[in-house]
Amino acid sequence: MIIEVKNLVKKYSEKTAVDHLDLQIKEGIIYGLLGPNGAGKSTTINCMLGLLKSNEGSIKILGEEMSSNNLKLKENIGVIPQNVSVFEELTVYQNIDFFCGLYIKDKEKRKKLVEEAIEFVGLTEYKKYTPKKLSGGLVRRLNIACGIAHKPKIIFMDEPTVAVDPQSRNSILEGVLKLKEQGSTIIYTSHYMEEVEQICDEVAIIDSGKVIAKGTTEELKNMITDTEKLVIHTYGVENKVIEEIKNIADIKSVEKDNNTIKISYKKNQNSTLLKILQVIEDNGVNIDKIYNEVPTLNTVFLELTGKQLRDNM
Amino acid sequence: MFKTYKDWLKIVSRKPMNIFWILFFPIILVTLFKMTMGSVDLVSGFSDKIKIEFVKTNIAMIDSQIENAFNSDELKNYCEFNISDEKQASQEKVEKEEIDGYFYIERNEDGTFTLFAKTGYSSFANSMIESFSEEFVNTANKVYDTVMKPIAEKTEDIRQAKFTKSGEPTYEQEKVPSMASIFTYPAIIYSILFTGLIAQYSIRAMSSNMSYTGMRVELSTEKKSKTFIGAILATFTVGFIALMLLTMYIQFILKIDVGLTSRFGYLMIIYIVGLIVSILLSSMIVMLFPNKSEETQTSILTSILMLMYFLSGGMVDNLSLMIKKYVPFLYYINPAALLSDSINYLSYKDNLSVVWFNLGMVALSGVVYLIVAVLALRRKKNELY
Repeated sequence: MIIEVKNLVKKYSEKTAVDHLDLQIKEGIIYGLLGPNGAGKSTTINCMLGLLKSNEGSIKILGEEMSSNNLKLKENIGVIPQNVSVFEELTVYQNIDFFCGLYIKDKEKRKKLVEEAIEFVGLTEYKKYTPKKLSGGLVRRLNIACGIAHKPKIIFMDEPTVAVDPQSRNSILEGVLKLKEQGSTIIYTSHYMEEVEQICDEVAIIDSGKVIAKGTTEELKNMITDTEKLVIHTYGVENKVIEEIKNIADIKSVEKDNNTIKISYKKNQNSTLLKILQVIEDNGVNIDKIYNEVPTLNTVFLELTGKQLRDNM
Repeated sequence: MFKTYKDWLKIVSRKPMNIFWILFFPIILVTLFKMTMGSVDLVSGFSDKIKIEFVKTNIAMIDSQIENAFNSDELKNYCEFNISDEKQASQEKVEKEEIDGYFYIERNEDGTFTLFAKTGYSSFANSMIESFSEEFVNTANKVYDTVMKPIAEKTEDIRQAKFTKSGEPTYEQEKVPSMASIFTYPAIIYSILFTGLIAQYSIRAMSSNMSYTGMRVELSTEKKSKTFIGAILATFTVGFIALMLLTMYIQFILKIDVGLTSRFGYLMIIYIVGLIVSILLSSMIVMLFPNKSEETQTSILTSILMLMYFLSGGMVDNLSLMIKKYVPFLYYINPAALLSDSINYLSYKDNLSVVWFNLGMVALSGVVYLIVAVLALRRKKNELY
């Protein structure tokens, strides 16, 4: 494990922001942290980074405890804060050089790393621009470049795609995956569950300072439901067909909405799916399209906490 | 640290508002003061030679020295000079507007002499009264330099010559600065004080509990103290350069004496102490209100700086002197007033003990700001983010 958080407790006066939280993060993965506002995500990350002192528990990164004097550990960590944290007065190149210079003293080496970071985030043609002249998406990319230029092993990314256009978002997500390919471990928080599903290898859902679920996205989805949902769009269907489907064993519910049929049935029962298709075929129903409605992380979150994740972020 | 310093020089100097507040705004201020409150050229366009008299002392050496001085080519350009036998006679002439003013000298109990000047303004339009006063005083100052100093050197019991305008207490000044100067010195101090505002940005940007850039610095392998010192030194440098440009403009373009040529070293000490204290004041405000937004901190700091500027006489003539006389405590806790007066002393006084005393008081304020800032910082030590 590259990061191990054990029994972490952080209190602000009477309020417990993090409540006996455990996390184990493997090397070389993208680890997603999901949770509504005030769930304790930021507090957890700040404790990991040593910016906050915890009341109880232990945090080990690369087997060592984080402290302001642990320079060896610090050089392996990169941070990309949610708010863009660059200097408006410096150019793209100078900004990256400034933050990279906080780690790398050798001028030649730094120059090479800065050039690489600029190329990595696709800002080569903008390197003499100041942030004021860049679009929101490009500034976000600059924000990322400032955090990764010194080539850290572990990167903390806090909502890096907030308020960016879809094109820049895709570019950023591709970049995150590329960083993973290069061997970095990424701790990723985001409002966008689609993103987390798309890029994260493992996810921890945090609510009220506790981890309420963790695992791969598939494991999380499996955790909450034993039901499959089948949706069939037809060119016309009679009620008789609906009744026949209802009579199939393991069918939980059948709903008809104009020409669309929504069927819930017990999971992992392949024979049930075959029987449904057989009824459809026997009755000569013409099918427009047919698909399984897959549960999302939002569904998982809703089931586990009773809250809509996005509404609470 | 040098890299941080270089980078911060770019950051601070490329902020247009920084340069506006510490350089261009004071330049606009002093230019307007100079234009409205009179230069020699402005006055000469409205007035004839100043008619003045000297009430003879019957001390031959003094009388002859003063007469010689007023008959010098330099002063002849400004004055029409006559000797008077009696103070009362000269006073009557002033009241009848026959002359613009007169000098007389009185011997004090301690054996020293005081040089008085009485002016009458009625020969000028009201709008030019102050300008005339300035002109008159300037002339009198020349008398002091050319006449009284040599006398003081030669005559053991003339140790201190004092000069004043009519209606003002004699203890205030040995020489009286011009009206333009009175407003110019606080404008210089304004530039010094507002360097603190730039420092506020630097301090925030380097503090992990106030900015994300600070968080990045905190998490880096670079020593935070080095980064912090680099940023503050850069702020100081930019403030100092702006101050020097402003001073050169005032001294060489506006031709208002601030001691740049005559007392360069002293002026630099005043500037350096002033800049350090303004940065410390800013640090104290930032540390006292760490959870406030940048805008709120700026508002608090700006309010304090503007109040200091106002109380130092930047907006009302002689306010600083009145405060010094009637509410001395308020005068001595205001670095702006102390620094402004120090520059005034550099330009118009020989005795610089007041400058050192004022600088000491300003430095003491700086120590207080520093202690408060450190205590406030320690209070928040465990909650960095």
